[in-house]
Amino acid sequence: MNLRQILTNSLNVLMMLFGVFMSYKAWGLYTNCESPLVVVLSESMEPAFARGDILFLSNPKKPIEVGEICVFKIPGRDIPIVHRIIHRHDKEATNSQVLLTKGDNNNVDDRGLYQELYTNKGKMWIEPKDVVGRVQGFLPYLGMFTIFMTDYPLLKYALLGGVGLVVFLYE
Amino acid sequence: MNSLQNRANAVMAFSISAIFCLLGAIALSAFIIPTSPNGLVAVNSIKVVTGRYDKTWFDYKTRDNQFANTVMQIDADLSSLFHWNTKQLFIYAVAEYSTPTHSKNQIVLWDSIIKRKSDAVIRKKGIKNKYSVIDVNKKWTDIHANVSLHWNIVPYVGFMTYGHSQASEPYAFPLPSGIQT
Repeated sequence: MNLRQILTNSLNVLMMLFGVFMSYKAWGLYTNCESPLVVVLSESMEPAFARGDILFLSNPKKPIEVGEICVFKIPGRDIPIVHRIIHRHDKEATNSQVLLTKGDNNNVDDRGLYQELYTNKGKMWIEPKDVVGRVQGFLPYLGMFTIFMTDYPLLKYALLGGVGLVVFLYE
Repeated sequence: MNSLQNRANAVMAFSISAIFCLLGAIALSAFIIPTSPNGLVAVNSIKVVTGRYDKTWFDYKTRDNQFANTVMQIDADLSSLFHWNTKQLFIYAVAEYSTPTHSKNQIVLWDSIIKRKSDAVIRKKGIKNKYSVIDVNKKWTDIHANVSLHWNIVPYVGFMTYGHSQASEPYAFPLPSGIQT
C-alpha cells in the first residue's frame, strides 16, 4: 500500500461524497425546496406517516390547497413540523395566504403549537414563508437509518471508520 | 477478481437496484389503474352562534366571534380508489367561499381516515362539523359557501394524489341566533 494508492482511494471517496451532495442540491433547485428529503420524527400524522418514513418535498408556484400536507417551521422553533392544512384564506390583491394546520393523529389544531413561545403570542396562522415544503411523495422505513445514527452516535463513527478503512486498505 | 468481497458487493448492488426499480414501478402503476370515485355532500342545516371560545376551547378574546354549526350528509363510493398501492384514504368535507377581503377561502368541516376497502362506501347522515367553522374575519354575514368531498390517497410507496367531488350549490349562512355553549 503506497501513498499513491491511498491518495487515489481518498479521491474516489471524495468524488462519491461530492457527487451525492451535488445531486441533492441540484434536486433542491429543481423542486424549489431547501431540503427536498425529510425524515418523519413524530407520530402526529399516524397512520399516514410513521416515525422513520421519508417524505419527498417540493414547492410548486401554485397556492397551497386545503388537505395538502406541509412541512413548516414555527418562528423560534428549530424542528420542522409535518401537518395537514385545514384552513386556507387567500388574498388575491396582495397574493398572500394564511393557513391553519392540524396533525391527523392530534385532536386539536396547531394554534397551541404556534403560540407555545412567548414571542409568538397571538399567532393565529402560518404563512407560505413558514412552509419549508409540500409533501409530494412517500417512501417508508428507510429514514430509520438516520434516526438510528442520531440515536446511537457510535454507529455514525463506525460508518466513518469503515469509509476510512476503505481509503487505507482497498487496492 | 472473484473474491468474496466482489461477489458480495455485486449481489448487494444488484438487489438494491432491483428493489428500487420495483418500488418505482409500483409507484407509477398507481397512475394507470382506472378509478371511478363519486361522492356528494349536502348541508342539511346551518346555525350561526356567537361566542368567545371555539370547540377546542381556543380563546378568541372577545365574545362576538361567529361560529357556524352545520349538519351534513355524505353519500360516496370511493372503493375503486383502493388498489394495491393504497395505504389509506384521507377524506375531508370542504366549504369554499369568497369574502370581500379574501378571494378564496377553504375550510375543512369534517374529515375521516379510511383504511379498508369495505369502509369506503359512505352513507352517513347527521354529520356535525368536527372543527370550528369560523372565518378569518370571524363573521359569516353575507357569505355563501359550497361544499365538496375531497380525498387524499396515501400510498404504500410513491406519490400523494388528491381528488374531489363536484361542489354543491352555494348555501347561505344565516344571521347569528344564540350563543356558543
